[in-house]
Amino acid sequence: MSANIGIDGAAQTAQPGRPRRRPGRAIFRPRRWAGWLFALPALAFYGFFNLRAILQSVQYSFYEWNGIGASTFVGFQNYIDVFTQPELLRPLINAFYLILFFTVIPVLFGLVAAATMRTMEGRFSGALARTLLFLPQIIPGAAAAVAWTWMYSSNGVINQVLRAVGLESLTRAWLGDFDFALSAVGFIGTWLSTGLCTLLLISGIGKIDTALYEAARLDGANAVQQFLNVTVPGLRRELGVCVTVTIISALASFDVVYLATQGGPGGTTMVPGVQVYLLAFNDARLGAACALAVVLAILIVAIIVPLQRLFQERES
Amino acid sequence: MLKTNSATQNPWRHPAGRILTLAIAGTFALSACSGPGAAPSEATPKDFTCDTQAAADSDASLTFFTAAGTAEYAQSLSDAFMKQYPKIKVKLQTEADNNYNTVLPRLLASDNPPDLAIPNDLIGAVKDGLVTNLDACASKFAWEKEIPSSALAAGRVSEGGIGSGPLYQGGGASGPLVGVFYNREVAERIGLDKIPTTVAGFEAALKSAKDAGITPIVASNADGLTGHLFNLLLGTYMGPQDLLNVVWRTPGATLDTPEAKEATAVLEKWADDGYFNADANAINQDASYGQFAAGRGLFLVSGTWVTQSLPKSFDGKYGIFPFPAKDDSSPQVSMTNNQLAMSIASRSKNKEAAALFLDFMSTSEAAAVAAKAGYPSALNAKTGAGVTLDQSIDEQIQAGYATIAADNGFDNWLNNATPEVNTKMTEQLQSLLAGRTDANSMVDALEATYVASRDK
Repeated sequence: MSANIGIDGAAQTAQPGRPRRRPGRAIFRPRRWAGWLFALPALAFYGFFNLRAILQSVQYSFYEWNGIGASTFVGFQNYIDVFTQPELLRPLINAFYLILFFTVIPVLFGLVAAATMRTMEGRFSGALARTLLFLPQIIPGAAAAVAWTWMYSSNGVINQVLRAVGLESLTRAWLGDFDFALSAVGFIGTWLSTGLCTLLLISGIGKIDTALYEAARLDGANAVQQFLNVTVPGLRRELGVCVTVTIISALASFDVVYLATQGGPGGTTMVPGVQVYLLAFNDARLGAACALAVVLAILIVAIIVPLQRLFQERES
Repeated sequence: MLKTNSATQNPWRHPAGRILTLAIAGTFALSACSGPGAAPSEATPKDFTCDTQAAADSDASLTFFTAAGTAEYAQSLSDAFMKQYPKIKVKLQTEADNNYNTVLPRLLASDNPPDLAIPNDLIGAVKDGLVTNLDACASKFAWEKEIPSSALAAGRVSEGGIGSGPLYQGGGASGPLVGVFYNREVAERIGLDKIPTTVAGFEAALKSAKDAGITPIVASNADGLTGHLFNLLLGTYMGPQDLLNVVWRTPGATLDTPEAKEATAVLEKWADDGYFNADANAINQDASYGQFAAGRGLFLVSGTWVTQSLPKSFDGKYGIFPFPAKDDSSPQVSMTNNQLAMSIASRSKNKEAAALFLDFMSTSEAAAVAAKAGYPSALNAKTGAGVTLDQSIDEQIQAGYATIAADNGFDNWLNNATPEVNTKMTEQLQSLLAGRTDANSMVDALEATYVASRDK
């Protein structure tokens, strides 16, 4: 209901002192309404399939419900569970750890790769490098997870390489290892999002005025100084997009984790997305699942909104 | 709320605001009125009379919901049924093994449910009114005379427990034998010359495999399937009835017993001793079948349904024996679930034809189909023979099943107690195998989950 008041309030203050029109005439004035009529089907679908689903999730989160039979209203109990039961809190912590692999490493690597490629002279080698880096991006996360599962297996490529270079002692079934499974899963995310970051940053670099580089060179700046003082500041907007998109994919990850480990071993790779699925469909605890989903959604918004501000303010 | 849209007062100045508000208000109106879900309409209609007279000669189409791993068996069963009732068509609806239990309740609640299925959470299905009361069929087909009461008990549900009350799952009586598969060639190599009948003897075999540099037990635990061995140990140490009481939610049943902890400690010790493949926590069932068939281990602890999934080229090269007893005076146990007993969806439109299918499952033809798929019949379990290493696997399955039947040793998976216990057990087994928890904490965790989810 608060949304109702807020929106009306905003509408009223936006048009101060405007003479009141008779509602009958306003409704039938074709120019005002024509646009909305065209948007109506889309809005109806949006309302039905998006808003309704979101509100229903919020509503379910206050109930104890197995998804089929009768439900019981339990107030905030499901939310209390999310923050007090270790098996519900741990996935949230894991999701934040994954930001390192989904966001920090790909953005840093993308920056370096983009800056390097800017200096690549050959048209062919540049295109080849871009294609190779972007290739993982067109492979669905689920397929990537399956492929990586094989590479991480006890006789997979990674262990074969380790054996070949005499690091036999390091070999292990990576996805079954309590200490390494989460990082191993995270690295699949790194592999997936590096291409996107690199491509975005390359296109951003193309828009930086080459005169800036020239001026920097004349002032005696070396490649590293050019990178830090020209390239990075010039890419703020693209960096903002990279960081936003990859943080969301880290916090809301599902496909990679579900196919690689299902949250195992012993819950070490459990992320909120998979936990929501398990709660709802394996454990028949739809209310708890929705509460965790709502908490996750709020967390994502709480992280993304300040980040957006940060990248915008710096620009102006 | 819609009253605000009057001619005298129009606060919705801005069209966007108006439409958004309408949308939000509408969705609230749609969803906020009452809690989700509905109490089942008067449980299961009692009026299913199992009047199958007309159904045998009328056209009908049945849907049989099966897990992918048992689809071959389900197809053979359906084919045999259709031969007898040519007017009734049976279609399989197949779902991945690990999704079967997840999907089933929602399918049964849908407008177009499968007619025949085997719900693992039978208590939940009855509570939500998803399955049909089969008492009329039981008396019409004289199941109580023909089928062992212990087999029928697994299909009876009352007051949140299994074992007594109205029948919701029925038919014939055949089920898998869960035991120890062994690679014949590897067994010979380590000098296994007779089948171990006590846990101590079994442990000695594990040790000699380990000493010979062979993985003693090939297991997949990314999917928690060391659970088969865990459940066998629980039944062996607790006794089958005590485990069954927990699974069937008999009042007063508990997992928090010294015997359950002793059983779990055995598993912990075997994990510590390195008796499992090092990558168990990383692999799924198919990978473990592959390793076992490739000769990379001595034992695989599972049920006879895997004979449908192991490579055909491996036929004849492996055998099975029942899990050994705690000591010479204790019974041998096995989990089983009746693969010839099914439930009929409450919302099925062909209940009479489906009842004919259940009736067919109590025939000897159906029992023969089941036996071929690795599900021996409880009706003609011959006692006394015992399992030997040189028997064929079919003989071993029959003899092993008879051994368990003679010991009254059939129980069920703790996983089936409540859905949450199933999820928790996978996590706990992975931790136990990696040495991240111990037997006592594991039993405590499982008991806590069991109590919390049972009392809901």
